[in-house]
Amino acid sequence: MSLDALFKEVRDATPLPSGDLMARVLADAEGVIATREAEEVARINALRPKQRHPVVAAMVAALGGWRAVAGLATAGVAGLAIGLGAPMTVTTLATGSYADSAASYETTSYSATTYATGESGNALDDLVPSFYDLASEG
Amino acid sequence: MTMPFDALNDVSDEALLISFGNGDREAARALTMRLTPKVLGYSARLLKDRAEAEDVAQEAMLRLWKIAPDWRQGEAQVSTWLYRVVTNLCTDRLRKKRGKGLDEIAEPEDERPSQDAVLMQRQRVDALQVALDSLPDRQREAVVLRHIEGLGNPEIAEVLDISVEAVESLTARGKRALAKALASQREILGFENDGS
Repeated sequence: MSLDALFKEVRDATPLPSGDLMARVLADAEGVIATREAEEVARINALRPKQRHPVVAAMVAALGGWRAVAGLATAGVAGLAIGLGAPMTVTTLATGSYADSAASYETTSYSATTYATGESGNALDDLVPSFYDLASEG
Repeated sequence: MTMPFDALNDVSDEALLISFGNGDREAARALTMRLTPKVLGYSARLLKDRAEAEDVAQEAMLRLWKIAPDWRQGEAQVSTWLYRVVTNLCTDRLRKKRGKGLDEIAEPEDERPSQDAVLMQRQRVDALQVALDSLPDRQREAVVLRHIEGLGNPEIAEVLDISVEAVESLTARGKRALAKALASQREILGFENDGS
């Protein structure tokens, strides 16, 4: 028998993999796929914006969505600015004392003379006390 | 994309590997059926221990699964890549064994001549395995890849990362060494040195 014939015999006698080995190899493949899928899910979740708390989401929805909430927020900030900028006016309007002073305002506030001399108590800076401060800053 | 299993026979290893990289479990099955026997056969020729050869086969296939998403098309054949991985894994194991002084060549279990053809064949296969084990690592790898796994010299050169001329030299020297090692058992095995 030649060496080449011996090689052929060895080729024919090559051991076949056991069922256990095939199962282990397939299990490894499954594990690699599962790991890769988990990593992909984690990567996508990391890229996605964080989910808001359901209570917050429900409140926003009840108020009419984010546009309505933005409008409310703007109105709130504007109200706060007015309150801080002209507290006396807000107090006057809130307490109803504006009506009492309206008569004297009618008769005297638009008088060019009195406005110029500053004698009237209902000048522009009475209604908006911080007007001149704002004007000087602007 | 998932392909039906019975439609995968004509699909190349590379296409299956890329499909597996995209999460196709059927491609994993097809590759396992196709490549595990090759990988085990080669590792069993390089290592004497069957359990160890199975471990190497499993490890090589695991490395294949892991590299699948990053596989570069057209750069290498999947089988060539696997043979290289198995070669390296076996070399590592053999080196560790030698470090522990365990590299003793196993003798055939039964050297008595038998008239039974099956037993004779078994003896011849065992004798060749013993002779292969006695070769230097590179010679053994080249001879196994060329004459048992049936690879061409260019592919072997790629697996072993050497030139084609070096492969030719290794296989020629390996065959001569095998013939010499088997010469002592010529009468028992019916082996003839054909001078090749």
